[in-house]
Amino acid sequence: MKNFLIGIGGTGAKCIEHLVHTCSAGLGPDQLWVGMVDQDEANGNVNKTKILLNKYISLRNKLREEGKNDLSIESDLFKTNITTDPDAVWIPLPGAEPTLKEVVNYNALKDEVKGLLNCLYDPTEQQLPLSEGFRGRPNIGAAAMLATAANENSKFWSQIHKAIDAARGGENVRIFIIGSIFGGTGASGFPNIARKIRAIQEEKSVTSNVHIGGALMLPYFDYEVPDDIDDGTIFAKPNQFLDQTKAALEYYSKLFEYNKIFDQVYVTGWDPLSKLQKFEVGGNTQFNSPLFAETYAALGALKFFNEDNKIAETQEIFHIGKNESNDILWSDIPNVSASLNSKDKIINLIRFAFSYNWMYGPALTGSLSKIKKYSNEHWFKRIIEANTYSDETKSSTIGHENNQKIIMQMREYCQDILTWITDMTHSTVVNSDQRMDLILTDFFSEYQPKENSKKVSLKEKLSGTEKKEFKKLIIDNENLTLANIMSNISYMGTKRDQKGLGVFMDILFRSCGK
Amino acid sequence: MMINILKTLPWYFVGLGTLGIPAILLIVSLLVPVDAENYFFGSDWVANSFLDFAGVEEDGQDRFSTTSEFNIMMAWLNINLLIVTFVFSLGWSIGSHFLNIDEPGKAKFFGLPWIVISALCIGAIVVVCLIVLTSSIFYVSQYVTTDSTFNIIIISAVFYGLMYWIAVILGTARQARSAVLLANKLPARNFL
Repeated sequence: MKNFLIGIGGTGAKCIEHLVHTCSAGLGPDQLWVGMVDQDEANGNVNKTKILLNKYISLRNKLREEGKNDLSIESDLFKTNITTDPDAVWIPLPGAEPTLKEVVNYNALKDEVKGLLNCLYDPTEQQLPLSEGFRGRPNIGAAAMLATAANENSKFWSQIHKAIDAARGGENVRIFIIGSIFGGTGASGFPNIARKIRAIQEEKSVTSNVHIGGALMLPYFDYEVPDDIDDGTIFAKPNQFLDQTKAALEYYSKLFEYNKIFDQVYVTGWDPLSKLQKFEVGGNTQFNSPLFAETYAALGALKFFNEDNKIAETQEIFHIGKNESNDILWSDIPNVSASLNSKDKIINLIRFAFSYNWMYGPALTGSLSKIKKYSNEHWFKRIIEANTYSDETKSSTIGHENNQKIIMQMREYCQDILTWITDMTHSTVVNSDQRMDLILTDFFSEYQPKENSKKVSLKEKLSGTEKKEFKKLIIDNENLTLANIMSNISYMGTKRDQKGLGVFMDILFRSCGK
Repeated sequence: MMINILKTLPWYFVGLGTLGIPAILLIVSLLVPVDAENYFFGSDWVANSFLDFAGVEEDGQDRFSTTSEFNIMMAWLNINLLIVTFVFSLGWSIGSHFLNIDEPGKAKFFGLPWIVISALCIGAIVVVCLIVLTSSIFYVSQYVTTDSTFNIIIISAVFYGLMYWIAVILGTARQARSAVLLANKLPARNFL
């Protein structure tokens, strides 16, 4: 089965961030291609996701290198082979400062068409520079997207063409689209990209094996618009979110009624809306924090890709939401399938990130002479030394540059995981009556809601008392201590096809589980 | 945790058995009624090594019954020493799984508690020997000279101390091996 994920706009990019982390916990499919669509090329969230994807792919490749550093095919850590392309962000209207007027070649249009266009778009909208996205105007986005061709020369669309070709060859292809209904890019791209895919499918006369799913994000956040913002500036206005959503839903319902574009649609939102602390119109300073509702979209995508998920003949619409109280609990996280418990896997990942970042990562960083002080310890001898031993040098290669690179990269990735979960824990409920009872973060991090790009600072080192707090890290779960993890590492068996640092990484990951 | 303890216990018993089985054989040999025809079981070889027969005869006691009584005293002494060793070594072996070794390099800091527990074990061995050999629980204890008492204490302390050490080397939780003298020299394998 070939799986494709398309994140549209800032929300789509943010949902991919959640999806990448859940894939590193082992909740994802075996293979997944990820692409993004955003008119706002420099968007902070898109860039952040691009960086995260690259980190994941690079680390996974290094830890899945057969015969060198291999986690083993059975390992859940970095299970999904995610592929993407540096140019896999499709910008519907490339160029320095494209405007709708230029896109439709307004001056060359007949007067009647000009008149129609003037009816649909006011002069400000026609002249709006679109380099920073569609600014919450799906009507502009829809026109822009439909005006551009989905040709095979684009790296993004070439993947879709390949997918449909594969479907013709009998392969099962699943494409999942994530977008928000209340913004500009997401709302316009969600149905139109799916329609473009169906059009390609029709063009290539592929009638089966292609399934399209989608996660539609209803309003789940808002923000306060600063007083000093110019009245004429066009941007996504929170007070219009509900009206826009209503109109869009009416349109989608008609669209879905007559056209089976999507096989499965997952609908989610958040009530009351999470309050974003910092407003940015767009561009590289738009770094919106990860929010819990986005996890629903990511898990919806993973459920869609799961092999146990049988696609029905009729279009299915699923609603995902939390319990009705103000407390957000682990039980609010749905499972990907009957055999894949999302809560357990995410908890496993968080514990792994914590223990690696503060306990094992630092111990394994540095030259061999520094690391050697652990050489008499059972875990080191059995898991590290035995698997990194070089017959040439008659010693462990753990201090070598390549291994050190992996150790450092993993630490950086673990910090991303901890930052992600901490930011989500606070940002989802900040300035509201809601409470996020998932993890305790105060003892290892500091949250600064007013900051833009770096709201979460992780502590460099933890004191003995803070390390003891680890057993309370996960709320509503059995109290696993760091000592339990050390014990598990010492006893957990290795798998036959594991090699190099893959042995340690997988054993540590499994040791942090149930 | 329980699974890890259960994985270690067989090795603990292997360690304990290396000297524990000879100790049990000794106890059995001492409890078998005295039979001069067998050199090891039910013989007077232990009594010959430590008992003051001159004193026994001076008091007009029967040599055969004194030897039997002495064997019983030594058997009880060894049973008690075996229990002490078993309790201390098993206590450490299971307890080592509960030590707060939460990060690499921390195990060696539990070397001091191990030394204290080992010293307590040796101390208990000595105390048990003194109680059995110098009290009036067994009347034959009066025929054990000071030199012999000293020798029995030293031999017991070395023998049972060694038994304790071998048992804890193999029985200590893998993550706590750095706390036990030379335990970290054991090969590290999936099964050991």
